[in-house]
Amino acid sequence: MSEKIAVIAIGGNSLVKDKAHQSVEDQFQAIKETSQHIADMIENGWTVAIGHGNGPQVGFVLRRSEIAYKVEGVHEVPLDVCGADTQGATGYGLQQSLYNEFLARGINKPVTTVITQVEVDANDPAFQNPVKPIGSFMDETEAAERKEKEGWDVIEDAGRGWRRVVPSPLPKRVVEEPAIKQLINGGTCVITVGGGGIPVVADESGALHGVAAVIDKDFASSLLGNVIGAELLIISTAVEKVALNFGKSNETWLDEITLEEAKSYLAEGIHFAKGSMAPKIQAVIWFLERGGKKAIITNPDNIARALRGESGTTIVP
Amino acid sequence: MRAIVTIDGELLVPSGFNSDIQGQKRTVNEFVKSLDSLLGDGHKLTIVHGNGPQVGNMLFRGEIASHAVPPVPLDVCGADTQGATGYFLLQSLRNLLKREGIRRDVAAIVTEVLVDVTDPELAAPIKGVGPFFDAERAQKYSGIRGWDFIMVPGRGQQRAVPALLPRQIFEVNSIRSLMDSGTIVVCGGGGGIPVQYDENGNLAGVEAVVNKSHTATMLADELDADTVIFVSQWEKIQQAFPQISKDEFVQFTSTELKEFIEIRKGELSNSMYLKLVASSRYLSTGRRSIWIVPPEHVEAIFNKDCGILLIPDQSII
Repeated sequence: MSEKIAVIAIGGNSLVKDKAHQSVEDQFQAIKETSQHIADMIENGWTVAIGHGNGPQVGFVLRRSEIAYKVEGVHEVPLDVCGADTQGATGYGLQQSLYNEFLARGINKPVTTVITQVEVDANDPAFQNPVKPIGSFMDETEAAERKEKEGWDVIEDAGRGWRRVVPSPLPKRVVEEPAIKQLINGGTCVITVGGGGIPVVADESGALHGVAAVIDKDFASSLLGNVIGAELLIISTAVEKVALNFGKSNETWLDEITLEEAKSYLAEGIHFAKGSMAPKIQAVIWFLERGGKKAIITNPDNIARALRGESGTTIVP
Repeated sequence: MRAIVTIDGELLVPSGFNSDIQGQKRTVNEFVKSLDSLLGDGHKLTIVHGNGPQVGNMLFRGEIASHAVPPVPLDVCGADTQGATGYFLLQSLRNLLKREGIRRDVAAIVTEVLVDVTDPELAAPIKGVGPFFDAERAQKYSGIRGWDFIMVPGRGQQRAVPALLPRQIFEVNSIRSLMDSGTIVVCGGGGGIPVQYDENGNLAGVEAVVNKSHTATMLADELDADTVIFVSQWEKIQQAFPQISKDEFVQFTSTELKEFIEIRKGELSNSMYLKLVASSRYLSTGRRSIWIVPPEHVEAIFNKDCGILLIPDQSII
């Protein structure tokens, strides 16, 4: 197939709109809207691999697991398995929704979800510095007990209670790369690296094992883009464009910047929110440095316009 | 050989209730060793797995936490378990291949199957799923959730859903393409996620379970497999075939199988009955074969040392 390949990274939050829309039906409705934007791209000749977040979804799985453990002593679901669960469920929602959208538009395009492990380095410094909060708030006694018995890292979160924190290591390898590549090259729309991928480390024999960690889904999507030879990476987020001095009086919205500009803005350290826009810019930088041709950061509604150069922030080498 | 291996969900969880995830991973690791003889280059392999105990755990957790977290419909439960069990098998097989120095890829595919809930023979809610309730709670849920219930003697009221036949496997082209290239494909978990077209012509999930034996034989047909290998606990095989000893090789022709089903009908477990009916239907196509073996005898099929072989009346094998 000579079609152009793109990776689109969808935020887990764009699949759960707000507190009032958390049911599975609401999530499917949100997915439907996202699917329309992806179908637009496919109509324009793109073969698309979709990476999606899973923050809220993992939150639900963990909450069920915690409650069932406390009330009935049901075994808990470890974080790697939570990730696998949500890859199945969100992948299903996305693939069904895309199927319906393609059917309505008369697009003949298969869509498939690949359960995806992403290897991280056991020596990644992130393992020495777990910062990503997950699960419910705990009181101090429970936090101390979990730390003691289960080896959790816990932090006190600004007076709101205690939370478990896990490392957020960098993705090194998309383990299922050959299958994803084969399907994409055959023209299939592939849903993969859900939640950044199920984090695994290789032991000394090379065997893989799940770890309690969270991989940034934009970093994973960026890496995926390079290994499948995508020319375009789209990071779909809550804002239409990237801003310099975001939220300040001298805020400046960006239409198109170069890789070098992106790097120097990021290095200045004042423009992009840590844990939010900064890692997206970093994901884009890595994608372009590793051979990507173009990246776009925008919100779902503006993807089609951004592809025509009418909206969003485009970053080029 | 092109083989579809079908694994009962019980083989992938430790015996006894409420084993933790580490226990499940160990059980899967032990189990995959039984597939060793099928992993070499000469064979193309697709694996279908059950998910009964896994979905049971999910529904139990969901029920306990239902006051705090949105409930998960049965189709999404199925998708979740395809993610998690797919992940266990994926990782375990990959590690085994690595240990043995076999260069082969493994992929787990989220699989939807079309069902027909209007099928008059099947639409009755007969299959119990999830936790048990007292009569009062059952009555409440039948009102507010519209659930059907069956009474399980000694345990209580259990939600009951239809057990449907698959009519179409949506991801079959992706599965075939991966299988053909030598990738071991894990798919059709729990028989597949049941879906049907709604009044607007859109696919939507169905609150039902799917007969995985039929999904396996349907896949065998679609993927042009030489054989379907049903892997089941020896106790279950023995219960269905009390006259057969474990180390014996026994062959049934299609006609003999039909007679056997007719005679033994009343004494077969539901799961074995479905396997045999699916087998009988499949063999009526006139070629290919089906094996029923315990995990420890998968290897024995190559020399017909032991196991139960089902063949068409006029076999061309």
